[in-house]
Amino acid sequence: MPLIKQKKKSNLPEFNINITALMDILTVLLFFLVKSFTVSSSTLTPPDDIKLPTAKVQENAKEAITVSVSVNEVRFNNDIIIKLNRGRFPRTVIGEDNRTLKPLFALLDKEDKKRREIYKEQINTEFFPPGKILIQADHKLPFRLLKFILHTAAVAGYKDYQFLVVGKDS
Amino acid sequence: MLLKKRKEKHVLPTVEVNVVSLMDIITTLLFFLILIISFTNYSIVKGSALSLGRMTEEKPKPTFSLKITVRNSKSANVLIGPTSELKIVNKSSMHNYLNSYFSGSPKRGFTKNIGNRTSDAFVKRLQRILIRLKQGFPHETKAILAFADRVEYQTTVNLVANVRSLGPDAQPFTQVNLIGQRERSKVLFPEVIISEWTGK
Repeated sequence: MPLIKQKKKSNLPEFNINITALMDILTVLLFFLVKSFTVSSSTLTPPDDIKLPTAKVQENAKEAITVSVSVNEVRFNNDIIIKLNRGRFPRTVIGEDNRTLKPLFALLDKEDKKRREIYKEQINTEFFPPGKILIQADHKLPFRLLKFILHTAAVAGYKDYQFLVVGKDS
Repeated sequence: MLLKKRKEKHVLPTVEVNVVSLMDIITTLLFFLILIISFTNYSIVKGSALSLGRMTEEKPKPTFSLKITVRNSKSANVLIGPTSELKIVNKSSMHNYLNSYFSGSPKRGFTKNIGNRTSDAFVKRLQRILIRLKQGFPHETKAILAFADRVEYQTTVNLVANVRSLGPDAQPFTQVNLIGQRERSKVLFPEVIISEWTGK
């Protein structure tokens, strides 16, 4: 009887996966994602029909209510609230003072009331600081349209304007 | 004779430094720094609305007022309120400048129309005037910008930014503050109040 060859058990070498580097990557990834989305570029991205003006300034936007204005529509935090008619506001949305946009005022006023409600216990509301509003508008927008936005925001308590621009080298 | 104890040479164990994770961190950091720089090409230009004051029976204090009325991207009118009772650095020199280049008087105020063929030249000319005014009034920070209806948003933003401060490429100017200290600055009138021009 021939000898049965014994197959050698192939012992694969033990392979230890070192995940230290992977953990490092994940930690750093997390850190930078949190930092870069604090004032998120997704909230700063203007609608497609708006081409922002350019300016040589280096100041970062602070968290604020965003109002986008083009010759076609007005958006409040990315929701369309007013549609313009041939580059003019419809009469139905303009208030009695011929300066205020009623839908925009209603939304800003609601936000202002919420803000005051939150801070009324810490701050005397008589000296409440003005709210901040971030305005994204098309570079060719005439001032006759922009003034409605500015006036409405001021009347609703949002007197600190931040005009979003693109760096001139971009 | 006593046997001397041989001192064993103190040999430090060899340690291998694993730089793999360090290289990973650096590569990832670099990658995200590049990404973040491309995200942050947005900036802001600040402005504010006119705040209503409160009625008072006290005699109104003399205040500095500077109003720039913008008709289009190449011309504007600069209006300065009465200056006779205001604190001015080098008062005689400032009044000489205002009397030479503006119309008016220290009691009634000064006005000047400025304009240029191109909007860039107009902005530079406006900034030269603002620098001179800032040198006379280094403690003042407010200016009113009133725009005509036809002014485009790009012009609005451009002028607000240029009235607030000189651009990043510009050289700072020298000013002397009210206590006699010389300082170099690029800040002009950072509190810009935006208003509407209702004239023709």
